[in-house]
Amino acid sequence: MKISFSWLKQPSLYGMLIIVALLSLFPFYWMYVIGSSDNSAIATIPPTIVPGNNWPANFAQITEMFNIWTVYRNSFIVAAVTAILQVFTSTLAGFAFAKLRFRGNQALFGVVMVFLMIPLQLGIIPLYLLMSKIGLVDTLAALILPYVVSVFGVFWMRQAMLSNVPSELIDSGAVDGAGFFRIYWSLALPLVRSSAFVLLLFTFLTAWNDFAWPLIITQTPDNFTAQVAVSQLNSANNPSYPSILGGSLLMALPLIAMFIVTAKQFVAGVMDGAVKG
Amino acid sequence: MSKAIHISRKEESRAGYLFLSPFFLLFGIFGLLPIIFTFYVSFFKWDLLGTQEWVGLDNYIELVADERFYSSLGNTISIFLLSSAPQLVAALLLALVLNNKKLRFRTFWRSVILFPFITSTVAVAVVFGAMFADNGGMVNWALGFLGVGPVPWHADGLAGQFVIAMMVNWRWTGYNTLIFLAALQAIPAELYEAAEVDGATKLSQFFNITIPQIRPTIFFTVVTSTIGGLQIFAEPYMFSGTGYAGGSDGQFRTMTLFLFDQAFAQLRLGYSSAIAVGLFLIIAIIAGVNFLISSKLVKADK
Amino acid sequence: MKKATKASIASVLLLAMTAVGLSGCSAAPAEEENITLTFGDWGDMGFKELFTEYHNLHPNITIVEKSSEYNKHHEGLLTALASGKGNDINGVEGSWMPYFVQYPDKFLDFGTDKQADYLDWRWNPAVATDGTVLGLPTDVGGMAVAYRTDLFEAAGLPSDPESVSALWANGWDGYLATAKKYTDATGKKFADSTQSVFSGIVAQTPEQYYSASGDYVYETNPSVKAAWKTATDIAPYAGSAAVFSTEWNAAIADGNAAAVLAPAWMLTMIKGIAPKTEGKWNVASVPGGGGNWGGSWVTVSKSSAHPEEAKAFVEWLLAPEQQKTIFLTKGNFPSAVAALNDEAVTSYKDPFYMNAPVGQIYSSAVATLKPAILGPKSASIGTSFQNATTTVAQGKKTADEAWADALAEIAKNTK
Repeated sequence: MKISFSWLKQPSLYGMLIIVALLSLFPFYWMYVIGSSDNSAIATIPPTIVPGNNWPANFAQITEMFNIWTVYRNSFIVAAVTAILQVFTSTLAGFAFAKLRFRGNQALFGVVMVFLMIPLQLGIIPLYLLMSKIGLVDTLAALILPYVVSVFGVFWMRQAMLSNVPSELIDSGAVDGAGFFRIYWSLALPLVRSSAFVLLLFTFLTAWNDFAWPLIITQTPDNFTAQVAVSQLNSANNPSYPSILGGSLLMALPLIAMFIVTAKQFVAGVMDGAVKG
Repeated sequence: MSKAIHISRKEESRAGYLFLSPFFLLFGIFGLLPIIFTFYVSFFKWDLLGTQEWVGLDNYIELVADERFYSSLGNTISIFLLSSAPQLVAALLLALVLNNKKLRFRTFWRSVILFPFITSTVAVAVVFGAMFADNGGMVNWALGFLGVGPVPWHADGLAGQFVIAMMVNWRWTGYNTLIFLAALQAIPAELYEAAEVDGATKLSQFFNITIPQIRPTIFFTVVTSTIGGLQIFAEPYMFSGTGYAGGSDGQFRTMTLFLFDQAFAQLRLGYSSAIAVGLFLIIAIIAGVNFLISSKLVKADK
Repeated sequence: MKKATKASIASVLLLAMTAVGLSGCSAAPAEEENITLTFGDWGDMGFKELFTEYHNLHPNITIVEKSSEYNKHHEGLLTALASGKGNDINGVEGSWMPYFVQYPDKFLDFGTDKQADYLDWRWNPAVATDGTVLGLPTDVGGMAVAYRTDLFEAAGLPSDPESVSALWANGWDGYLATAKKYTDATGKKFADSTQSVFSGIVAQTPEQYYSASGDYVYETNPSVKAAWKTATDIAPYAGSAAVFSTEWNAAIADGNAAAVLAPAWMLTMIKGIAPKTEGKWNVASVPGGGGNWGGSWVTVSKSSAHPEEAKAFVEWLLAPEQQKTIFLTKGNFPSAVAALNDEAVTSYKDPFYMNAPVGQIYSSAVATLKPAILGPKSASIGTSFQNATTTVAQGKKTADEAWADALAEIAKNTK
């Protein structure tokens, strides 16, 4: 049995990677191709693969359906606030679970592990009713609150605290008379910075891309997020593919920009998490 | 001295509970309460604006007899299998490619394959829906050269589920590749060196060293894709073009779509809640089995 | 790496704060006498210019339109009413009204002052059992058939409206026969969609899915079965299975639908979908007699902070004079009696449709119309049947299998 992995050697290796890269990038490019063409481009044979010159007109059509800046602002507020608060609650709880000695630590963490298996999406309709009881339907707060805490985040940050924060540090801090919050904030938090950053990115991404919950809890276009806006474009009353795909691209643009800026940390973060997780 | 330590211990406990309280408090309100309320509502007949009418176990009796519950479960599992299995195999292969020591521009390749991960499921669904259009779509055009098709992607259940799975695959393969890559890099080089000395082929090294070494990672990816896969919603919702109905014949109706359809299209909040409870039990069972298997395997490794 | 991380976090924070700051500014309270009324609708109901006009007449009142997709709008309204929040004013489409009319306490009562202005059968569905009038009617959806004269001629069919109407003077059988003849001659599709044929035929009967006493009769009603038969028979000759789908849009734009079942509002829709086909369409009468497809109401929520102003605005918006304007500029046919008998309306000819006398066509369509009996589940039942016709059109099921499955589905959804 003499099978070797010779295909893993160059140049076939680069050939394969280039194909994979094209598959990864093509849909983004094609969003722009169709988004800049006229309506017939979507169904031409052979397919249209060169951008057209209709972008301004299509862009105008998109802006007529919703206010891009409102949508960006909403998505940004929701994603940023959710990410920051979730990182805060997760690092705080993770720190307590990993480093503080108190009765019931183990048991409470066991409870958290059970929570990890609960698919929260199932509670979406009562969550809606709860929001309506407290008068938060159709507000950005309703989009943020359910995601301020995350079971996964607590699990993740506990791991990070366990492997990055030496217990002696806690004791020495306590002996120095620092409060536990100060120990958490100025001693522990800096040591888990990169894990916290990954959680921040992931939460931001997840919040930006969330669809099911914003779809039912937002009602007026003033509170639409990027995903709801795209789904609005994709409706029967709008026969225009260029505006649908162009709009999808527009709504993804901030994330694309964010990714390009943070690509290195993002990749490192994903891989970093994999080893510890 | 001993008194000081005593106070500090007490303070430490207090700090512990205090630090955990935001999580437990908010999780209780926005996570657990709705789920408990779901159980409650599942015993009523309710159209949201009207009054709740107690119906006992009727919703559950109806649920176990409703073939839509089973067909939506079947669709969900079918989409899940079509997505997770090929995706994990592809991710592992790609990870092996990227693990090549001589590879140049590493960060570039890694970033590019992770790129689809940032797009929203909604955008992915829109683009794939257009590329896989039944008439005049790019994919059917390309298949035409191979003498295949045109495939009725939006009409046929399995073909459409394949497209939905492709959306998931496109978005997640790069992410899982990096997870596998990290695991591959963590394997001690000595293991391979020793095998090399023993004259083991690359293939046998792969099965005897690589796979066992990254087994926990494989299970991690299986578990995450299971939990995500069972709740799939946006892709079939956008792709089917029939709203919550999930296709003309419910061929893309997943569990979550079924739940939404009964809640918001049929205004049957009680029945919808019973569906949620059913789905909850199924996920709990699958998660439990997953947990048991993976913990056993991890133990076996040690 | 450390620095970059810190900088990124800082910039995220900063941007978040700026964004929050911005939202704070835009939420600043308006001047005291100025009133903003929010108006929720789906797409263009044809009111945009009138919002501005009302603001010019009443400078202290501004109407802000909140558009969302059709289903999203109605689900949003539903959830808004449940939570006591939302827009001051909302459009409610015909198929949703039977559900909302069960809950009159959520809406402002318009009273009977304006009743005499409107067609009775368009007024009544918004009247709750306790007498509350939930809203005023917008347009009526009396039907006709819009057809492509060039495509008819190419298929060797007559193309003037009288002769075309004569092709189906004997009803839907004639329509079906023409469809077959057309497709045999050209290889292209005739009807716009199986779903619209089904809906159109159902709309022509007063008793549809409910009897006058409120019982379900969808299973036994011969007219539903007849609609089903015609729709599934016409499937091979229809450009699209589903109506309002991307496929349906493409069929109309690309000439793969020579005849479109058209209430007045559909004529407007065709203009938007296929602007390049101007001058190629004409309008003939609909087979099978009068029927209403579509038509909406405008309501004011109980939760509105300015109910009197909102009510006054809606009364102005849907008064005969404005309905006339809407028809002449947007094409939605009036439900106000004075407007639909107005000379300017009845004599209106549409240049997009070869100057077809659409005013006269829809006036007479409305005159022969029989009001339908609807119930809270009418829309849901209709959707199930429509999806079932699609499964036949897609070749997934025989008409009989699909019928049986649709009945089973409906039985479950109406429990």
